[in-house]
Amino acid sequence: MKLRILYIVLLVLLSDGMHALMAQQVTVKASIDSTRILIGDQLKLRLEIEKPLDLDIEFPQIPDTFSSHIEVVNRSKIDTIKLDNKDRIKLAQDLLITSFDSGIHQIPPFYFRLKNGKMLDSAATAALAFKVFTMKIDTAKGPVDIKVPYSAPVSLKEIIPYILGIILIAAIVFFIFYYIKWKKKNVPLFAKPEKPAEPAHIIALRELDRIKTQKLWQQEKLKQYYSEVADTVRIYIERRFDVPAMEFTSAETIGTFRQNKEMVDGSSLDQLQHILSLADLVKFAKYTPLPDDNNLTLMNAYFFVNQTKKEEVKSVEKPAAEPVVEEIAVQ
Amino acid sequence: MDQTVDIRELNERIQRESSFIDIISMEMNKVIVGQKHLVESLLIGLLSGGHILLEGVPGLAKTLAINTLATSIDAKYARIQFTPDLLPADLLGTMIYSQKKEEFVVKKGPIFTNFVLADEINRAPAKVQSALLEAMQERQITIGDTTYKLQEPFLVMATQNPIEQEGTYPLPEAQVDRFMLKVVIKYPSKEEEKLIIMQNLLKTFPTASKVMRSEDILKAREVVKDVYMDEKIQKYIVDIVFATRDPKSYKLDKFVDMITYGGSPRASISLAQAAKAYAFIKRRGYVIPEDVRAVCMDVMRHRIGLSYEAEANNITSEEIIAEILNTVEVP
Repeated sequence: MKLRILYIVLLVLLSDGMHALMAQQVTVKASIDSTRILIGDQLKLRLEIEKPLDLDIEFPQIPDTFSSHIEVVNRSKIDTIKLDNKDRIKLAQDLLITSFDSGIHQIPPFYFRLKNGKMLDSAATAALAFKVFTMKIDTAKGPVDIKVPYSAPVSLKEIIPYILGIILIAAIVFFIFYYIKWKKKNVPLFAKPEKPAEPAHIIALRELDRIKTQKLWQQEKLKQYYSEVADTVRIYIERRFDVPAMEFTSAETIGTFRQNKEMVDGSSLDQLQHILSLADLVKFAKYTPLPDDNNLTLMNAYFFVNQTKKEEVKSVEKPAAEPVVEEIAVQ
Repeated sequence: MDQTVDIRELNERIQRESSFIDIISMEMNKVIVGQKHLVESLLIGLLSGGHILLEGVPGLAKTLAINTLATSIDAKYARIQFTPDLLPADLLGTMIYSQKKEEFVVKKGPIFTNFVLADEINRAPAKVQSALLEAMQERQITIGDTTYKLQEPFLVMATQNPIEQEGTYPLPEAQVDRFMLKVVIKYPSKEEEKLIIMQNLLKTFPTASKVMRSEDILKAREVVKDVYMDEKIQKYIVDIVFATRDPKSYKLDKFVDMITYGGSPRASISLAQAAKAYAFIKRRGYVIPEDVRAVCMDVMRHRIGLSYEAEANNITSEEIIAEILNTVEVP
């Protein structure tokens, strides 16, 4: 019987000793960065455990709220910190907590579970407390309006969509104005750059060549033949002399040249008159000229263009500057 | 080749038939000093069967010109002075009770004649002006239940004074459109005015003698109808009239807000008829663009409705027509 009692006492003592040994090897700590916060403000709660490398532990499970007054806003991952003593290690976790109730609030102890082989134990942190105070109310001022939320500083990421939107709207508005402007001018929106204008006589002579090769009057297309010859000459006059011959009647065109004798000489005017009057007869009076007249009209058109064309002034390159020799008068 | 002969034959016919033009012009020039355009316009109206509205400040021989034309032709002529108290019956005629016959008989009004001079037409109220409509367009008059055809030639020549506004009734658009020509008479030149003074001081007022019969006019009208008008000229006329309706299509954007309505199809018809008559006066068997341009102003000026914007900018229908003629391409 005595032996059995002794065995039980030894077992209890041994167990306590093991617990005490494990507890001595582990240090747990809970700390907060402030003990006073304004209602709604946040404070950081740090849980730390320092333990031997081979000791398994379990961090306490953190609920979303403590004691119905404290809310956990964020949990960091468990951080491992190596210590100078290579056999030991420190683990830490940061919690962001807040409270929306004023008063003194208690943070309860956190229990870390320790496991060494088959031995289980736990280590608790100390309980903490902090005070949550409210805004001071100046009762002398009476009721005041609820303050609008603070405006947070604007970041570039937030601004970029607006900037892009403004640029896009500006581009659309510019495009619309550009389109209306060009529409009014009745020119294509995306026009190719104009080729340098050819001299009027080049165009006219090319047209006359084309009419000649088409052999219209030989195909009894007299009206078309005379219309095209007359129009070619009239367009040439318009470009060469700036006389609106396309909008003028034959008599008005001839009249303009008679009034401004410096424009064309007498023989050219006679040729022009022959072309236009014969063309008018064919176009408006069903007149059928003789084949010689048809040839003569085209010849007259060639002559008129060649005699009245504006001669191109070729730019003569200046010779290299010669050395200036100063002549000194010998007295 | 046959077509050419036709024109030649027509030209010869016109040379024969148009000899009266010179005689009638001479008779008119005996009485009217200057006003060549007025005389020409009256002849155009006479030859194409179109009614004429003369507009000019007082004292420009409007009434005298029409009087002289009517006198020089052996035809019935009536001068009606339009007054504010004139009634349609005064113009057209009415049914009166004949005690002798014991029934209502028709008393024909002064409109039953060849030439009607409606002097100061805008002094009569709208109902009298409207009474002229049927006569001018249909060339018939309805009195009671009976419709009477007016004898040919029937021509209404009306005058109106543009400066007096009080006590006048502007002609409605429908009626103005029925006048083929609206001729605006301008002041005579210095030389012409000196001659007018001399004639008046010497009290030597020449009178026109009857040089033509109404049958001759009807015959001449038949020749005018035969004057050849090429398709190109027809297109030119259509272009001019369409430019008054849709100026934008003819690069006349500046007139878009100036014109409320453009020329009607009647304008195109009148322009073609007047151009033919003008070609006849010029002894030509075919119409050329010059003919169209020569009559265009008189034919079109009263057929273009001007907006308030045009009136505010002092833009006249004559300016618009001149711009159209300078823009539309001549065939």
